[in-house]
Amino acid sequence: MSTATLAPGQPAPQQQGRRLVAAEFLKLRRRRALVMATLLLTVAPMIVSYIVLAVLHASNPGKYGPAGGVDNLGGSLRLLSQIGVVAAVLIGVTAGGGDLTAGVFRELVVTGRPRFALFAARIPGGLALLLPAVAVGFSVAATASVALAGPGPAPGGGLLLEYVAWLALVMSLGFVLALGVSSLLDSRATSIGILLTWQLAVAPLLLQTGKLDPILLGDALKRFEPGAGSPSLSLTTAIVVIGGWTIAPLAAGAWRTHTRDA
Amino acid sequence: MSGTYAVETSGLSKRFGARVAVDNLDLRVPRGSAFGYLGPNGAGKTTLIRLLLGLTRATSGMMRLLGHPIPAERAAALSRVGAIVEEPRFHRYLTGRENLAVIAAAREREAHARIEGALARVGLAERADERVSTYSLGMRQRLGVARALLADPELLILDEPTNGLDPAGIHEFRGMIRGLVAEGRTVLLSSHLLDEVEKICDAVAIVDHGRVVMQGSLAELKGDRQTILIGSGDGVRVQALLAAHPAVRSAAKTPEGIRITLRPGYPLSAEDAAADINRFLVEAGLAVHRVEPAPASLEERFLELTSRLGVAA
Repeated sequence: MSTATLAPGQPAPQQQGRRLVAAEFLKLRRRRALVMATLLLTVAPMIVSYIVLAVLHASNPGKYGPAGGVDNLGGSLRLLSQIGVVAAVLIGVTAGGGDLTAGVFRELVVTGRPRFALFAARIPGGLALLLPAVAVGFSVAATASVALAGPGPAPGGGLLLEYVAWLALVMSLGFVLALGVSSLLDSRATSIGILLTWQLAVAPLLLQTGKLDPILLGDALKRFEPGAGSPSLSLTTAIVVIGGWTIAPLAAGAWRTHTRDA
Repeated sequence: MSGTYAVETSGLSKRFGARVAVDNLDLRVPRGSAFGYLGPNGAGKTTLIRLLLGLTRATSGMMRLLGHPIPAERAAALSRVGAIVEEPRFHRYLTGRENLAVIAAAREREAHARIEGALARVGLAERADERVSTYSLGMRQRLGVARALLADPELLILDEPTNGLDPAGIHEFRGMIRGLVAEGRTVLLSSHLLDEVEKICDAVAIVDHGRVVMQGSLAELKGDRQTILIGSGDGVRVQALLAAHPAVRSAAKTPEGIRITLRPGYPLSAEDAAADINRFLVEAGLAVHRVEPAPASLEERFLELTSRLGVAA
């Protein structure tokens, strides 16, 4: 649709989209507790883990190797992916249910803006808070892994880029899952409870059984994790699983946003 | 601008299970007027507003906003509609200005430039950078009006907008609504406060049990009935005597005195009838300290038309 065909008072979709995303980002970044929790779950673990590694190495170099290097980078980024996904859930749930909880969803609907557009703006708006925080955490890990590598191999640019892409994938998936679920449900507390229980307890348990691996995210994400060893899933299966876990929650959340009484 | 009416519904119904909230409603709100949608609590006022704004779906019937059929052209219609539905809600951790920015982002580009003017118009410019959690209910109501103004609305839909306002705030609010109407905008004001509607609105629809029982200008609603207010120390005897007077159709005791309604077609004007009745009462030996023609009030008409008549009586 061109702007020439728009009704009076109807903005061009691209401009509109940018402003809605900026508004979503504003709503999230002004929540101090959420921002603090995000930093605590993404940046703080990396700082603490490298300080601990450095102290251990300084106190007993014979027993503990250098804090940096490729191995410690892999370990610390796996830690970041596990703890940081809690931040992704918190941001996703807040982005998905914040307007509804505050009663502002109704006020947005009466602007006449399509509900799909309101929902869609939450995705980049939330990622705009999450991914920079993850990037800072990653930067801490990457810098420390190079600077404190000692005589061992330091990670190269290619490996770091692979880790960046993998982390972005893990975090974005955690976020869209939370966004979809919280848009589907009416309660943020329930959404957080369900998602964290799934993420931290149910999914790992199911993975232990080994029977549901092809449909759970864990193995599919491992397919893309740098240095994760021989993959158990084919590339195609992994892409299909990740696609399913991305599309299903977003579709459910969009449908509920579209159909719910405001 | 298209269509004679800012709001038009025909056969509009909304059911919640067995309960009918809006029942085959036909409503016409003329453009450029302050229109009161008046009804007792539970009459279906908020449900109608929610239907018009697309917050819930109609069970059946037709509605048009600013000439646009709803829901088919809802986006085009709502781009020029500002609304407050029930108590205005905000992100309490954001400032007033930020809350307006959030809504402006969902509207046309120019909406952002209207934020300052809207804040100034409702008297919140100096508190705009404080968090909404620090605002009183009255301030949140005013911020709600400011938010509605971001649309540069041709039509403002306000649901019980004076809730929480102090007397000075209500007075300012009336002036603001009249100012908006003077600019050519239409204001649809839903309320159960008769006095409020009577002071603000040009036209009214009275609704009860989800149905419009009457609509028209205030003068039309009050009718051409002539009434006279009489003050006397012996109200009971006044009522008894007046029952036999040829000019009197009914005499009712009210807090202000005995309000009598003249028979339709009575040949004298209200002033002459008042003099005649005064003479009649004095000759009967009654002390009368007040006799004056009094226009019929919207309250009387409202009570007559709605099911609350029995309650009030």
